[in-house]
Amino acid sequence: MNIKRKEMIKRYKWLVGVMVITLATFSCKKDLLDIKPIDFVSDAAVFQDITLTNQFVNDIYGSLLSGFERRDFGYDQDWARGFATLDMMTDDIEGHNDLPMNRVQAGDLNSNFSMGTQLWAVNYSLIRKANTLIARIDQVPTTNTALRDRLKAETKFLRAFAYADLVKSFGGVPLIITEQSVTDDLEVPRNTYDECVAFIIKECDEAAAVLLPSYPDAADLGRATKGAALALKARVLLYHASPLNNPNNTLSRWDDAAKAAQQVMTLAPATYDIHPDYYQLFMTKAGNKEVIFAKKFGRPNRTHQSAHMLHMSFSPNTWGAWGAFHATQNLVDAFEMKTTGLRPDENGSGYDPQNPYANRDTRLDKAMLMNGSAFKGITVGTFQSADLKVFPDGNANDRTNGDRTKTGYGLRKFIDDKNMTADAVYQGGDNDWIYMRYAEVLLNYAEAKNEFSGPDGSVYDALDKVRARGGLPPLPRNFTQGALQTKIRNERRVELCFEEHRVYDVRRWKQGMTYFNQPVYRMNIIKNTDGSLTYSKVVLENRVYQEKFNLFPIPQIERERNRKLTPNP
Amino acid sequence: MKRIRLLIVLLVCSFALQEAFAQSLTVSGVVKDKTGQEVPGVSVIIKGTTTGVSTTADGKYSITVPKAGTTLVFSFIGMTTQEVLVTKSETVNITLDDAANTLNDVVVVGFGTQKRSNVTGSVATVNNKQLVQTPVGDLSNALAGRTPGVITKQPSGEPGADGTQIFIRGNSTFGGGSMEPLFVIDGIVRSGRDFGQMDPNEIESVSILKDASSAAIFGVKGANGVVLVTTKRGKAGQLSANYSFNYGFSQVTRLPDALGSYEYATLYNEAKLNDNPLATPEYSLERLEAFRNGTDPDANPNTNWMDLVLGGTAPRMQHNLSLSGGSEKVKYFTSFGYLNEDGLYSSLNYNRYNVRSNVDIQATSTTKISIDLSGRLENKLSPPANIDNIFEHTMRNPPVQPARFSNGLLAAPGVYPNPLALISEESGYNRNSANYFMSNFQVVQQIPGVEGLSIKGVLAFDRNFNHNKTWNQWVPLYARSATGEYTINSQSKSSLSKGYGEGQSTELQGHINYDRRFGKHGISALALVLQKQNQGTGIYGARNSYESSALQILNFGPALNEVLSDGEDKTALRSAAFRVNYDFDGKYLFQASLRRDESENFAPNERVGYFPAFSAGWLITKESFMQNAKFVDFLKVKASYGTLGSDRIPSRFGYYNRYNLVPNVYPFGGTFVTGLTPGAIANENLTWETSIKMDAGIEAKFFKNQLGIDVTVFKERRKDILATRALSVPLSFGAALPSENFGIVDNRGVEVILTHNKQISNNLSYFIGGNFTYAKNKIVEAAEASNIPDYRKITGRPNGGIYGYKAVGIFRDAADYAAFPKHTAYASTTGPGDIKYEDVNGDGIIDDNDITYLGNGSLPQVLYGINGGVNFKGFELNFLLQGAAQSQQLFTQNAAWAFHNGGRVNAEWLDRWTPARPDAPLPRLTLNTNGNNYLTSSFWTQNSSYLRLKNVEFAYTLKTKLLSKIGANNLRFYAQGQNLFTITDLINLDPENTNGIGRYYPQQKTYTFGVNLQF
Repeated sequence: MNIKRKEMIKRYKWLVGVMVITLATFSCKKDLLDIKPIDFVSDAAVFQDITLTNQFVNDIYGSLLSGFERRDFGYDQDWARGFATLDMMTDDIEGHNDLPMNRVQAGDLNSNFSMGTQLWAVNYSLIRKANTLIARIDQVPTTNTALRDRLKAETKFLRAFAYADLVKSFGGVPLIITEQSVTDDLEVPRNTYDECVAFIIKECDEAAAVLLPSYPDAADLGRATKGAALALKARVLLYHASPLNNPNNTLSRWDDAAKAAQQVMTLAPATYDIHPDYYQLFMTKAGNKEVIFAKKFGRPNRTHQSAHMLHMSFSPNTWGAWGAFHATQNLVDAFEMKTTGLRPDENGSGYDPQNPYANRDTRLDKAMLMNGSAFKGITVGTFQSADLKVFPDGNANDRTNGDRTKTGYGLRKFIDDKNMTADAVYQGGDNDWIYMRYAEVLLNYAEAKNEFSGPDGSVYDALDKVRARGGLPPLPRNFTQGALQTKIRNERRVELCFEEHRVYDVRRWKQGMTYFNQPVYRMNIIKNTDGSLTYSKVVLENRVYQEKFNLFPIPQIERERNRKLTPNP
Repeated sequence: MKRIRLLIVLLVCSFALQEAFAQSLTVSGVVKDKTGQEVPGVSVIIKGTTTGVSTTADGKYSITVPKAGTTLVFSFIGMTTQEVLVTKSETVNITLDDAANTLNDVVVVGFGTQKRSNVTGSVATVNNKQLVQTPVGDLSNALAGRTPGVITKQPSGEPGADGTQIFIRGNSTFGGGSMEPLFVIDGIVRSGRDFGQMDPNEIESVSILKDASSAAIFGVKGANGVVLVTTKRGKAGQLSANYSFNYGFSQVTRLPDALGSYEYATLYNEAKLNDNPLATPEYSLERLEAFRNGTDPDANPNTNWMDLVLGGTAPRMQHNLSLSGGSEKVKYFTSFGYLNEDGLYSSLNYNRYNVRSNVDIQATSTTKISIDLSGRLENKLSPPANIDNIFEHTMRNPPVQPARFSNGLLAAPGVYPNPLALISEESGYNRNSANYFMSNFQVVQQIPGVEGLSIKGVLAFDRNFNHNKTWNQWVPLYARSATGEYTINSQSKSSLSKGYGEGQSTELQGHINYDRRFGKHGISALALVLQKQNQGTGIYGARNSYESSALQILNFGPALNEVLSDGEDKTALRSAAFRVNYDFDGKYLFQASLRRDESENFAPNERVGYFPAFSAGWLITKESFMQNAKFVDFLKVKASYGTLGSDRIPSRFGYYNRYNLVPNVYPFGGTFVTGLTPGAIANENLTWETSIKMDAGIEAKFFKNQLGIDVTVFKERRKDILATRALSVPLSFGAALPSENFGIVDNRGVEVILTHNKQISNNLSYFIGGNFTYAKNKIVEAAEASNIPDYRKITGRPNGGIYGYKAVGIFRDAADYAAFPKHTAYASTTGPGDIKYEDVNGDGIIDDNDITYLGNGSLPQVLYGINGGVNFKGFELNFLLQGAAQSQQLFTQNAAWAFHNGGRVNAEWLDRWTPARPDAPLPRLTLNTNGNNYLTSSFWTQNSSYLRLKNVEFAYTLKTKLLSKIGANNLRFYAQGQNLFTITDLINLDPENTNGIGRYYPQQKTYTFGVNLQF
């Protein structure tokens, strides 16, 4: 290193620092800010690829709202999902003490009714997805046009299904069938009930024309079928013909409803039939010919909470059930005597008030737990001890258990006993929520046909097919039209109990003031010191109903956001 | 990584070029403080350079300066900086003033330092002494009460998770945006946890930037205020070592007072009769007697669940060893810290290791290189049950249920889990470990020939790794029959989950600095560019239904029901900033700054934002007309105005119309299929929140600096707050709404600081100070639906307010009940003894339409701190009182209600309504949830104002010959207490709690003893 070079270094050594800094500062990447998302796909991509479109349709199925997912504590509060059901508004069920539902039972069905808001919000969310799909699917490039047509038809069914749910709850609702933009006028007024029904029927017909009665691939079980579209149409037409919506009793409406139901019945027995076991009906997923359309559940990812929230609470309580569900004596009294086919309160029924569960419609035992029921090796005791020194309280009525039975009855239907273990209960249940099943179609037919033209052989046959599963004898063929109406209505109550039919059936029959404005009863059982049991039916509480409750109130928060919505009375 | 390698090569090259420097003059002497004590560690710097030395343990220094006419700067944190002009080789002895008596000390501001007297923004500082004085696991807890404008809330006392939420001057956003301030450590933005988990012994000072002019240099990151941390650096001189150790133990500040079995059972019988007058009492007289006498506790337990789980004390321990020293060429500071905190139950432990090495190298006379490396390792062990679950059952279980039988077996207490099982080591474990490595390389180059001009390059590279393993297994629990037989609960299967994540971030900065005086004109300017890139990735797997615990690995479990997920993310930011300060004669001060930010979080044409700020100050005491006002030592007025941004918004990529992946969305035919679900509708105009801040203040010192007063008023308008129009768009729209920049919140308030200190004699001095903050915010725009009644609107009211029914007392008797409107929903179930509500809308009935505003919520509007201390002959007593007011907490469930969910009863319920006590403060008892009484209402909304002794320290410093024989300088012993007492009207829980159900790990009071040895 010569002197001169050393001098140079000495003089300009500071330049090294400058170089370092410059390099550090400007060695930037040009595309630093060009970051692409990795965990979602864009809007455009979904409608460029039929596989992705198909996955969007999967999501629409996932949006279906079932009776296992009601939220009574605020429509967006997920923690209490499935703690209550809509049927807790009826004379069939008493719910948990903590439920806001108690307010409804006491006559306060107001516009803040959380399950009504949830029903509104969830269905409109599904409708928006469906609107998007229906508007754009025709442009999806694919050679599999059959799949594309099928997906569109399935989605049309799902949208009609959501509207049917809204219409039976609220009457006419805003009929939104295009994909709204944020800049549109979002304050859409209500369409009339008839406009909504006409739309649903049209969509059902269009879907039924494309869809097959069943899917060849078992992996597609649960998708909408031709039968589902026809059954939905039959149900909507039955509501359309009912007193609430048909004040002049236009008979042709009943005729339309009966014919629509009959269309489904033509698919039996190839596609549809009655499941032989009333309990297994709700557990069987594959090969269950009674199911027409259901919300599918599956472990571990899509489960419901009925197993621990609704199931009866025993002590020692090894599976931590909350005991939120208590069937009423009113409902138990609707189950007929097996031998006579008569209700306990009818003359000559053969009912023994001190042995009330003997010789009953076998569906009673499959739907409910009561004193003496066997469940997973335990005998349920709903009695209270006359003297605790002689006998302890029944295991479902333990005085130290806050979740003890309120009525003497718990839920068995829907409760999958294989999940009722300490380990499994909190993982949730995975039996499906059945929206439409063949027995309902038969009952829809029987009701519509009887209303249209009175009892005939086809009506009795339909009823007998349903009743036979409960071990009941065939009906005598001598009913008047009015007497058969009563019988059919009772049959719907029993056969479809807890499936959220009663809450709507009583309303559409305009019978709310009869059934929902009266006391509900519980069964009080005292275990005497000699071991014998004394049964007495006592009032649990008074229920309050008003005629205006026949439609749910339009949600308050929606009325605050959409000033064009007229309230329900 | 490539870039780092390049930089290292260049750094090594520049070492090679380093050469000796010609010597000309030598100055030496001793630095003492006002009391005549030698001061070690004073930095002695040649002005205009970074060359310097520091004083030795006995205060001596010796420095070589290049030429006559050089100025030496003597500075020490906490003391006045002095400048001396050197003309020849000589001895210069210096006496430094305490900073408490001065305003000339230096304050760290964004990307630089400023003389405190010249600061025109609002900058608060907390020094190392105050930080070390507060023995806390999370440093954020040490800021509470220290300075005004810092609103704090410590919601949990859990070791390793007990950080304080900091709101600088309050809460001005809603809709999901964060109010967390920006944390900047040695010029690099780092996370709040990076700050919280630092060892306090590493820190020189903390500055809190509160107004626009001080924080605007951080642009889009600065709207929530900035916490600037400066770590310690080495000083030339002999090795100085500092070892500190403290040991302490923690207890819960306050536990709910739950009734014992006898009183519980008595009230139970009463409640049952209230519900049904015909019912038979639950507990017989014999059983009540047995509870009272404690007969056969296995059959008649009297369990204090809170006490069993939380009643103990938890030890904690901290070690720190730091070394510093070096030559004029190379200086270093290293620190090693260890913290170990046990939980109140044995399955909970947190420990942490901190290391830091800060090295400064004077590579050439004009080139300084700094290499800062730091890292920490955090280990946390906790039970597999989550905190919420543990505290749910601790809060709920009634005393009549057994926890553990006298034979030692754990009990199955009725309906709910036994919290003792949930916290037992038998239940498994949840092990978390997180490693952080942080580096910061800086090169500062003075540009020869241009006085005052320098450039700086910075590279910061961070890396972190964390993993978690949770194993959950069965704990045997026993039930005891009436005849005394024990049955075991059925065995459940075990489960395992494992998660692994890593992240890295790279930041590059280039600065140009110019700092020079021209006569009376002082100018300093800064220009900088920076870019930052973060990326992270993680993976998680879980399996359950393990038949055996022999192998606790994922492959050992059944694949059925397994969960597998992963995630990746990347963010980037590119910015440039410019700041200029001008002063005339040190009297008139001006500052202007502008920052430009580009964030990838927004659509390409919405990425760029400009954030300007201005401030000015007038140092009145420098005016000649003030020379006669002898009692006024210092008087300054100042004001600032500026715009900042906040990009701490909830969602990423809001400008895309997105479809999100939903694994296993639906089980067709028993097999799950994948779903794509539409996300929120895109908003291409999405951008950051904008904050416009104004600030004006006055600072004054009187009577020889013995009295100081600062008053600042501030006002902020936060606009473009990102929120959805969820309050006005009908649900029938059906889609998740786009985030839009429409929200507006106004926030205003005042801060006051008062200080007083006095040196009474050489041996005795004291100080006392107070700070006070009032900050109130108001929502101006929230896109609320137009037809919501005024009394229910959130617009015009504080952010985060509580809404519910207004309770107006309890129906004292039948006549009172008949006279007042009842809630329509409970008309048939209420009666005397229930809560009555105000008919807010005056329609004659009580229903949901009577819900109204009840209060501003849990964030206090008033915060204050009072600190003081006395020094006498080596003895020291320091304290900090901290308080908050104008805040409320809404309590529900087992934190407030009797028998909720079959649960316990708190002691206040002894004072409940009965027909004989119609004026009792609490309603009648019921076993059921009383719908009417348990509505969200002002009845359960408690005032959570408090005043607490946040910290007290008693210390003695020993300086003897004996110590110097072993080479030590001094030895300090201290005893400290944290949260020793609290005055509040709030019952049962700590007033800083934010969990209305009371399910949280409670705040702790801590007693600590420690020593500090200096060599």
